[in-house]
Amino acid sequence: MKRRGPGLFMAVLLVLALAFLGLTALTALQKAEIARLERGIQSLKEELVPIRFMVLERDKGVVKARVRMYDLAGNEVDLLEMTWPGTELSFDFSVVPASGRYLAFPRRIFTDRLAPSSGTNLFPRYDRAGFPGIFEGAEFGRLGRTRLSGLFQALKEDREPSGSFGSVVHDIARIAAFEPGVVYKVVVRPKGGIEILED
Amino acid sequence: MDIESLKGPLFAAADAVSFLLTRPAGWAILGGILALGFALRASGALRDRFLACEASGRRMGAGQALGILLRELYGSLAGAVAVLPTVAVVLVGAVLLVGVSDSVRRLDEIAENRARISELSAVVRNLERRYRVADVRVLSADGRTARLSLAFYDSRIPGKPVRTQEAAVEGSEVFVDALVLDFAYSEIESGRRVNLALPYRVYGNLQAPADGQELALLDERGVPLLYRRAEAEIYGIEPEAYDARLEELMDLLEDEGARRRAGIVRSVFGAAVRRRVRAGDSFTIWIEQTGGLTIKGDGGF
Repeated sequence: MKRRGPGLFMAVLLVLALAFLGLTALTALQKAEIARLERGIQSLKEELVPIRFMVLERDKGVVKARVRMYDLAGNEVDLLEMTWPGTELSFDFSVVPASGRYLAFPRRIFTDRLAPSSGTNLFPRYDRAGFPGIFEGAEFGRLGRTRLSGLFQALKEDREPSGSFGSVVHDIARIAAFEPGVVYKVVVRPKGGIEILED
Repeated sequence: MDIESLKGPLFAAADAVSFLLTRPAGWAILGGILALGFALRASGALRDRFLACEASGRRMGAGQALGILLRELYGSLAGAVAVLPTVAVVLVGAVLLVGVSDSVRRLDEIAENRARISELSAVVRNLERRYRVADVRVLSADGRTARLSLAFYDSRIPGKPVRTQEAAVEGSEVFVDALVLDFAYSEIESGRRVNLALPYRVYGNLQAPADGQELALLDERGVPLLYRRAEAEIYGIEPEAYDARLEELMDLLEDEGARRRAGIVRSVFGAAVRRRVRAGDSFTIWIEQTGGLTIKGDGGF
């Protein structure tokens, strides 16, 4: 009678080895999925800060503030210190969809007592020979830079690219007023939302 | 018997085997044990020969001792060869033990990873979510004034507007202004809260926001009209609980101290979305759970 022991033993070993390899492969796939989800969550929470500001004074119906604009590398692009009539300070952005995310171009500053059309135009303050200076500091390539310049030109000429919209963030005197002396940052989210956070 | 209680001894035995067979320190321990065994065997043989020599009145020479050592070494190697099949079986058993243990560990890891993936997927879903705040329809627009019809939504009843209102603004661009309450990411990710937007005025680009049209944000009790419900309209929540939630919301909106104490609010600020409009246009305003207001998915432009 033939001995079956070694053959059976080898078969058990093979099954165990295959099961272990299968489980290891499945674990590797799961780890890749976890890494992908974690990257996705990080990118959803990513924030760009094109503007930081501080209210210097709010008195007798005027508000004085210092506003700094930054590029993508965090370098200061422009510093603006002005007084506007009113109490609530509004930052107006043009938000444009591009490559699966949204780009925000600071457009103007106005207040509750100043019509948007009479607000301070911010476009010239970061116009660097046609390129929007707030998008310096990242590698877009020549084509990307040309497209950004084209978008910027359209916005300057009051043409709204498809899918774009305006987004204004401001304080509300009764509920959440910007405190003088406190630095706030305007945060742009990848999904196009803009919010103001204490820095 | 509880399978979980077997895991501890199984993992401990597998870790020990793995350590002895794969680590230099393990090899050193195994080598040490073998060397000790050989030393005991050789010293026993030497001692026996020494006693025998002493009994017979002879002295045991160095050559004789070396011969005994060589004989014992040979005997040990011959013994090892004789038990090789047993050693092989023990080794295979050890490998099987490690394999089974690692497979059980992998199964546990797979279960943990599955739970983590489910949790992260829920976080992504909650962060990617957006809620309809208002539908805006442009009834007329001539560049100087625009008449609008606004329909407001509550995030808990997304299917139908809870309030509609008409308004007029000056200019060709419409601004719909809201009070926005963005909760901490931990609250949004877990699905415990959703960011809120309470539209409270509209204005145009040719008028100061303060001169815009109010949208009657609060009722006489200070509760946002958008959230005020008749008892019959409140689905799936006790009226008392609904009122308590409204009070909590109002505390958060009105009292910065309460907001800080609650530790759940990321920011409270005013936010308006802007659109250049023509008669017949329509668009939808959303609040993003990653923060802020947007206009998306409309075909009016």
